[in-house]
Amino acid sequence: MTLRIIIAYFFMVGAMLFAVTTTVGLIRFPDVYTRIHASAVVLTISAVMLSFGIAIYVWQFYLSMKILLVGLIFLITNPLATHAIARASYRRQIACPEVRSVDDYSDYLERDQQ
Amino acid sequence: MSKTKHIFAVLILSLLGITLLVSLSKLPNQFEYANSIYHHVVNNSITETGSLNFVTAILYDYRAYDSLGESTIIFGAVSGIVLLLSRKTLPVSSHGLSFIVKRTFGMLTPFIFLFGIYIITHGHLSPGGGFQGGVILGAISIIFSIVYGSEFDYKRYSPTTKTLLETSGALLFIGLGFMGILLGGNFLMNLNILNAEVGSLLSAGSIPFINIGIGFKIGAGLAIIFYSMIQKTFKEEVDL
Amino acid sequence: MIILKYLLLIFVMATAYLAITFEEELISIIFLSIFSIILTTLYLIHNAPDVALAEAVIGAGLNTAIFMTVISQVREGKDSIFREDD
Repeated sequence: MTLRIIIAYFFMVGAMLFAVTTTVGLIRFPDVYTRIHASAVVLTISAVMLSFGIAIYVWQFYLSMKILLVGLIFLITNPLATHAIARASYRRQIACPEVRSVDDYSDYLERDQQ
Repeated sequence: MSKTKHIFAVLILSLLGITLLVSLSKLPNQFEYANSIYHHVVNNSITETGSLNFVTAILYDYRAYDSLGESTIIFGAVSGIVLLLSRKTLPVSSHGLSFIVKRTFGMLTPFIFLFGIYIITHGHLSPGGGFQGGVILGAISIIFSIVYGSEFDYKRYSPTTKTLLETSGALLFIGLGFMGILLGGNFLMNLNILNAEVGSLLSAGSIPFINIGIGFKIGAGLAIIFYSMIQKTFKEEVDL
Repeated sequence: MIILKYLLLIFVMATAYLAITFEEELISIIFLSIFSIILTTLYLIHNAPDVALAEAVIGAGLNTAIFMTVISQVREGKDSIFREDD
């Protein structure tokens, strides 16, 4: 039980806590945007922390680099998927309120069309 | 669904699950079947084929004829789907996804391609092989169609190129097979082309070439299937 | 490890049940994708990384894309998925 193993377990337990938080958020939040918020922010940091933990746990150079690459891929693609889902559900008018005080994104979408 | 259907589904699923559980727990331990083909493959495969991965050794050396049959099945499926679905050869278009997704996939797609090539060429050393890497290469065409619109896919990676890649992959496979006959052996014999020491990249005879052939064939075939399915969807909104 | 095996088997059965009982096709496709991912883990536990890689690539990646394309073709009107640029 060296210090390295303890640090690895610390990262893994932190990732597990974040994942549990994600699940609670997915169940408890009311509509699609807040659920996306929960899954994007918390699940990304959970996956990155888990990859850090495993990379410290195995502690061989090439293997750790491969695992960190997996974490980097998560860090790039998970917010990307979240952005695509949020934009698609905004354009489909899924779970949009009837009356809005601020709606900046529609202007942006019209500008993006041209 | 009605209630009887639910009960029926639960019954069948639990039956299948119990079957899976029992059969998984009865998987053979090591060296249980002495003097069987398993014993022969585990003991002699590395010296006979030079491939570290036993599954690749079986698929592309001992049972390479079966793999030829499988790729013929894929070829038949591609031909049938293209025959059924290709009514129009116009390049039809959609706009694709948003700017952020396009830029990010512009950075990510070369690495996906590199990963597919890695899985294909290291098929005799690590898990993977021609089939899995070929599907990853075919997924790049799907990314092009969905993210950038099918017009981009048509221009960058046209159906003629896909057909050329698929045919050249199949011809490489069959050519290696006939090369075995020409050199005085069996059909699809393991030729002694790459004979570095076992465990390096340029080893295992003709297995890496068969991997490359199958990879290009499967990838291009799946790309053709997806393109022929998606090309008619956007027919109404052609505004090139 | 043996607890993980039984847990994954239960999850496989549960996702298969959810995939066949939902009326909405999109949710069924997503559950089929989850089914493939859990099956990938099960293959990996039983020392079959080749099959696991094939299952992950084909079952979770390609099948989802092709099924979604088919549904966007079968449905008519505004519901189709890839219709507009979103």
